Amino acid sequence: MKILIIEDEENLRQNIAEYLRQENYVCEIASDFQSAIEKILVFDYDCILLDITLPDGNGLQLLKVLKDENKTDGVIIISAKNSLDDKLDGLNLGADDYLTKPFHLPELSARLSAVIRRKKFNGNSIISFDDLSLDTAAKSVSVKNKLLDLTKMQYDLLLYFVVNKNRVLSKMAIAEHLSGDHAEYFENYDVIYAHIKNLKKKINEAGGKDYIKSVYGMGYKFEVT
Amino acid sequence: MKLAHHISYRYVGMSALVLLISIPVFYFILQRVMWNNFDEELKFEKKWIKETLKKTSPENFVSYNNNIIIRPGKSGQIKDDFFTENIYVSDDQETVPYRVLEFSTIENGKEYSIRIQKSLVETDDILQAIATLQLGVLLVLLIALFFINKTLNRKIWNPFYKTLASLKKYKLDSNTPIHFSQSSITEINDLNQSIHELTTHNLEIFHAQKEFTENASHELQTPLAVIQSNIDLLWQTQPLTEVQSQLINNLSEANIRMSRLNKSLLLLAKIDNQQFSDKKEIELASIINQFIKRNQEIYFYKKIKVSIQKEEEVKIYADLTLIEILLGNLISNSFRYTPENGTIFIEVTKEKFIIQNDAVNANRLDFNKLFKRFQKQNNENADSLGLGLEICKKICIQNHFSIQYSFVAQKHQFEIHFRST
Repeated sequence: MKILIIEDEENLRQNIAEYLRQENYVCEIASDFQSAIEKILVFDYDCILLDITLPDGNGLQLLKVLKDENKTDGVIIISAKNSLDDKLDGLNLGADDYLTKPFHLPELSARLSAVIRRKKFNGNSIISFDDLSLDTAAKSVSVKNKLLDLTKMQYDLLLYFVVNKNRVLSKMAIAEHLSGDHAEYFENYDVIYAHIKNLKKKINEAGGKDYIKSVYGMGYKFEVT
Repeated sequence: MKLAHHISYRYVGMSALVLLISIPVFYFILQRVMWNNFDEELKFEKKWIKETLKKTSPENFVSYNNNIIIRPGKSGQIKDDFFTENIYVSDDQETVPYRVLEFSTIENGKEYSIRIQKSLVETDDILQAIATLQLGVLLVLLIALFFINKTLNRKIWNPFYKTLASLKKYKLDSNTPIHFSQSSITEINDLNQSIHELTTHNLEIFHAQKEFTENASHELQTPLAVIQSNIDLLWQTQPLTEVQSQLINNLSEANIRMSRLNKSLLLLAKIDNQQFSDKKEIELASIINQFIKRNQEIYFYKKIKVSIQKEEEVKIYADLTLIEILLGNLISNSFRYTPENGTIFIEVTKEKFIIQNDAVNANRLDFNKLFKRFQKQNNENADSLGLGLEICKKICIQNHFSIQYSFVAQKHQFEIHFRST
């Protein structure tokens, strides 16, 4: 999978690239509007991570260029502006998702894989390993071909773990993911603990392995060997 | 008391006082002048009597009304004596004031004591007439003054009261400078001009400050994102010791709190800047149901019972984003603070929205601190930002709702009235 990261903040750009490379994405980077437009016109990307405020132009202009060129690259806007107008403009101009800074890299990774699934596989993608299988179209999970009875939230949580497999996910990152765009945020990690405990129980009852390991009580890791 | 009345009362009071003092003073001064006149005349008469006495005998003196009385003999009086005396006039059967001159003289070797008297009746009448006339004129003047004052006051002070009214209505965050109509009075125009400059300047500063908050929050997002991405990468470095994990954990928590804080401040700034003004009809029940469903899923392990009492089709006219934030905050707060197996009660009518939840302990929340920025309640989770309720209050103020907190029967209750009175 080929990704273009358009971001003027060098450290952030590199960190995103490093995190995504570990997930076997091929990452190219552009630090300004001009170099970004050159890359976009020449190459096709599976997904473009786009910062709106660039030193030499507005990132939203790039969306127009993509549209004019009939490009189908997926686009996730990464913006410091949590402005509804920007968000709507961006989505109207063909962006697939909108992420406000600051964000967790696992969250970016989850959004990225969702966009790619949608774009590449029309959402019909089955992620499976061992005896676990996630149907992202039906939003269902089965263990050893037995369908698990998961709530929407538990499915969400499992998908988040699976996309970020073999990564340490902090409770904070999980909390951010579950709270989504809503105002509520769980200062109290009992919520996370309760959901993970429940999820583990359901997988275990279906005869699945104990994939979700806790890391020093500060985070969790979905381990697949 | 109104300023105009203050001035009028003093005006009228002073005028009346001057009037009361001036009339007797005027009367007495005039009387003195008259008497002096008479005295002069009496002196001339005295001179004439003395001249005449040298030539004729006193018996030949016949005067009108017996006004000259000449008696031979000593009176012992050498100097002239002027005085006023009331004398009974038998013809008219009344006492009449007279101005009298008594003196003694020696003519042709004979001594005479002489008395000349002049009636003051006419002068007294004139004096009285003058005094009455003056009193009348002054009274008319006073009444005229009073009415002129009153009408003038209304006219002159009118622009002032207009200015005052617009100042009373003025709110810095309403974003509209005050406009004044031109007045014919320099001072009022000066005042209006000064106020206009003052408010315009204040507005500029206010805007600059709000812009600063918004810009500062925006600018902070990128460095926060840099910190977060570094923390996320740090998490992935293996192996991590427990101490290192704890340190990263602390960093991460602090950074997330800062990010949340920043987002909330940004939201507050945006509400202040009226950036949510896409008003339309909103059906409350579906929004409320959505939030309850979501929160029930999040807090499934608490087994909270929720009961809703609602009227059919409750609609309000407001910005959807703001209403979602308002109801979302209140509903998730109540789920967060309800103990396990507790209950939440929600009532929605056309007039109000009530949400009530069981309290963990018997402590009522401090009402004064409740809606203020960064004011934490003593029993509240230390990680809470304390901005949620302030955001709620801001949203209510902007939509002219009223929001109240009460603690009834071990339950926290928040009540929003859609039409605040």
